[in-house]
Amino acid sequence: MLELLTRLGLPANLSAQGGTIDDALVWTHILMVILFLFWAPFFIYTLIRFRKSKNPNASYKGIRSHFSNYMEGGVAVFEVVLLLGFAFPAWELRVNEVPPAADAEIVRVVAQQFKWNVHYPGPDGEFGRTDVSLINDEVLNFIGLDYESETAKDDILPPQGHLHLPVDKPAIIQLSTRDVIHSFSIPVMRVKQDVIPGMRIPVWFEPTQTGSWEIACAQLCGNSHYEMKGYIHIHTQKGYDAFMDALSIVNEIDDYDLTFEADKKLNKVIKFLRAGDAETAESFAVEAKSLAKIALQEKEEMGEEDEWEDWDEWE
Amino acid sequence: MSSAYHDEGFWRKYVFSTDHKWIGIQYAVTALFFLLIGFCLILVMRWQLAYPGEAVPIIGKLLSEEGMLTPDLYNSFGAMHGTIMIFLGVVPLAVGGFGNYVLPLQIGAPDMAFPKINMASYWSFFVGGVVMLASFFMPQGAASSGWTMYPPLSVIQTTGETMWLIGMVFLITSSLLGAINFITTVIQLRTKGMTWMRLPFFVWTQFITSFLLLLAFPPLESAAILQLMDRLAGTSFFLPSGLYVGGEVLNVSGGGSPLLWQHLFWFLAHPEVYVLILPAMGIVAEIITNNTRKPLWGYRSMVYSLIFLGFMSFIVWAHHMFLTGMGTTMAAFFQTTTMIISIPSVIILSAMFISLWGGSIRFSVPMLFALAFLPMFGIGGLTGLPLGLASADIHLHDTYYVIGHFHYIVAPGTLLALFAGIYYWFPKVTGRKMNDSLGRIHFFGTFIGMNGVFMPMFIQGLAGVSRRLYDGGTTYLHAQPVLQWNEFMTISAILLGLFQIPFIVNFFMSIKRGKKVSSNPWEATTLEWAAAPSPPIRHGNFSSVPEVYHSPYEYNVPVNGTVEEFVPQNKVLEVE
Repeated sequence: MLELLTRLGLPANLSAQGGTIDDALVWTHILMVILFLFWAPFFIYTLIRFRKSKNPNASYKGIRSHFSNYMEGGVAVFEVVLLLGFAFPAWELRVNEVPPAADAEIVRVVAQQFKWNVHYPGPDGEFGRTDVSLINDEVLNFIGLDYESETAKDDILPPQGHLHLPVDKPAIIQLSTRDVIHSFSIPVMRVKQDVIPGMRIPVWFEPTQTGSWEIACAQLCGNSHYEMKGYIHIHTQKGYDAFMDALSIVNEIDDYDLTFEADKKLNKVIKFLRAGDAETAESFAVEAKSLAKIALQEKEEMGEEDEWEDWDEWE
Repeated sequence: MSSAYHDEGFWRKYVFSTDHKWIGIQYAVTALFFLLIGFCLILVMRWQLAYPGEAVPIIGKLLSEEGMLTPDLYNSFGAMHGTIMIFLGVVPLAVGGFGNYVLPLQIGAPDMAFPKINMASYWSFFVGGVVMLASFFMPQGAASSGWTMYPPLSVIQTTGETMWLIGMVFLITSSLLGAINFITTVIQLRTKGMTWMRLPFFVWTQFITSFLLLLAFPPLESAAILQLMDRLAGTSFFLPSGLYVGGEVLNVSGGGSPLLWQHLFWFLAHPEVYVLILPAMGIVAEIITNNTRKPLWGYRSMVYSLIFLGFMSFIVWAHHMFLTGMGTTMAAFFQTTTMIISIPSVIILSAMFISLWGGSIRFSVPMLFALAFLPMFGIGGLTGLPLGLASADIHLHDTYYVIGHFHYIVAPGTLLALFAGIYYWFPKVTGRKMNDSLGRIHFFGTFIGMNGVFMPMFIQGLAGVSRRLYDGGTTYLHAQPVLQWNEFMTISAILLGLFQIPFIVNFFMSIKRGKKVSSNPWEATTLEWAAAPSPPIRHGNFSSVPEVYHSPYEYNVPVNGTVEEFVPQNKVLEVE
């Protein structure tokens, strides 16, 4: 049945927890097929056998057997099994059996009209303070991060719409929105969660394959809802660490002239993940990291020079 | 009885009539007109889905300068398609039209219990409809946040949303007036001998439907007024604080909850699904029993299932909200109730399938539509299963699978049943029959067209294609393998539209030129056929008050060693 659904269009499941969802899909469709295979021939046979020209006198009583009671009972039993065997455990897994924070990658995603903002806590593991009054799209502070706060200094904000995660490690995404309702949907990860204003809702999943896929908005959020697309990049663990380190350093340098080379490599990482070549992507991530480090050194050296220059001017 | 109304003028007779039959006709014709408008809206949308960004033929110039549907208009059309089809099309036709016309006749009543309230109900509906249509001409267009009007989006959107809410208040008022009228009529005005278990199944469905309307609509009416306050008076019932919209922090007091609206909305909107489907089941039951020439199989269990279904429909609403961050207890409760509610539906549908067995089936035009209803409603119901399980719903929620599911219930389901009803009761209303050949063309075209439109939606939904996408998901990778279906569905929709032309022609031609028939051309047993002339007498229906002696569907009754082909409810069956 799973094969049939896949042939019809169901994308392959690339997550560890998604199997429970596919089980429910498979078993409900099996029940559908059974009922359909039972009723369709009955229906067609009845119409042919009891047409007026064949059967001019109707029977007052009709069917006397109670097979329909058994069938209804059968449906009820099947549904109980679906609930207890598949539906309840799957929801328990989704809501209550969240992997411990220490073993998981915790990321915040803040939706806004037609974009997904991704917010990593950085090495300290704590998210910086955010405040709606600090939102300023012109300086690219889409989530209102308070750069003054201690915990915000090492936070990492990749370009809008790009979520990076390591493979084979649970990810806990804390979802919130700054305007209207959105819905965070990654079909291949079997993830979908509404994002409700005024709430921060966690959802977790565990990618099992490296590569690059899309995040869709599944809830009508305005006129460009159809363009609200994001990307999810699943790295090898090593590649992910290097990528995030590089990104963090690049953010810290904040000077495109210096990080130009490292940025190029970071783009290559994404390009190779898309092509399904995680190993090459990993090596580019490592390269990006070392280039970023070099850039950082350069900046520090330049920084000293700059100070001297400033000093000169001051003199 | 009729003499008191002898001197009615034009206005009292044709416009502000208090005769349930005329009000029923007013309802039905208005609703058919709205169904056509709702269908035209979706045709334009389907054009955009099949050929994104290409100019819409014929009416393109009305839409935008380039002749194409803009994203704003797409969202408006989507929201208004849903609203018009449900609140202005199907419900007014099924309840206001058929219910009004047929129900008093079937129970042997001279009219509704409150004829003036009945008139008020229609005119409130009419005003609501006009307000809804007028919203297209508001400065920024009609409502555009889906027929569900989820805040905060609906609160920050265009002025059309205000019109939507005002229109909704009128429509709900209309439904409430209708509901109390139906309930009182069924309880008080049943003719002598019409006991509860002698009621035609159609009357039962209307009776239960009225309770659903009466109890489920008030929460939405109050919610609509609350949202109106949010839009106009600066309250924040549905708005939390700290929203950033259009480049600035939204200036509201905050503290409200967007989820509150969803609960209030779905508390109505799930029973509403049964409001859409129950009258259809009633119509189909009438036609099946009449055209198989045998009693309805399992009438009693159908009635009890119906009552149970009505009750259960009030406690399943949050299965529309599994993905709003629901915990295990809530999810378990609503999944369980959802599975439970499927059982009475299965019982009713099975009973109708089984009713066919042993019959002498006449494939008349109404019967074709009624028969097609059964498997179509079956598909619609079965595809509800994965959506009712929260875990499977994670993948399917807000995809085309959902659209396919509920359209199978409402379009190839309810609409086919409503067409069946039109062909079936047309001779009662006009004294003339609709043309058979045109009816058959209409049936096969509609049946194939509808399946062509809705079946591929399940495939797109399984692939994970979201609903309400202006370009139909063209840019998404996961949509690529199933995108080619968009063109197929659009062509099917256009064909479906073309096959309505024979119906429209047939409908209007038959009023004046249809074949004249006797007052009981289908040889039916229920009172509207057996006891009343066609058309029934204005203000009073029956020339003498009918009395009922037995259950509604006595076809091929074995009596005294012979078989009575059909025994009307008002005919004494003498058993020796």
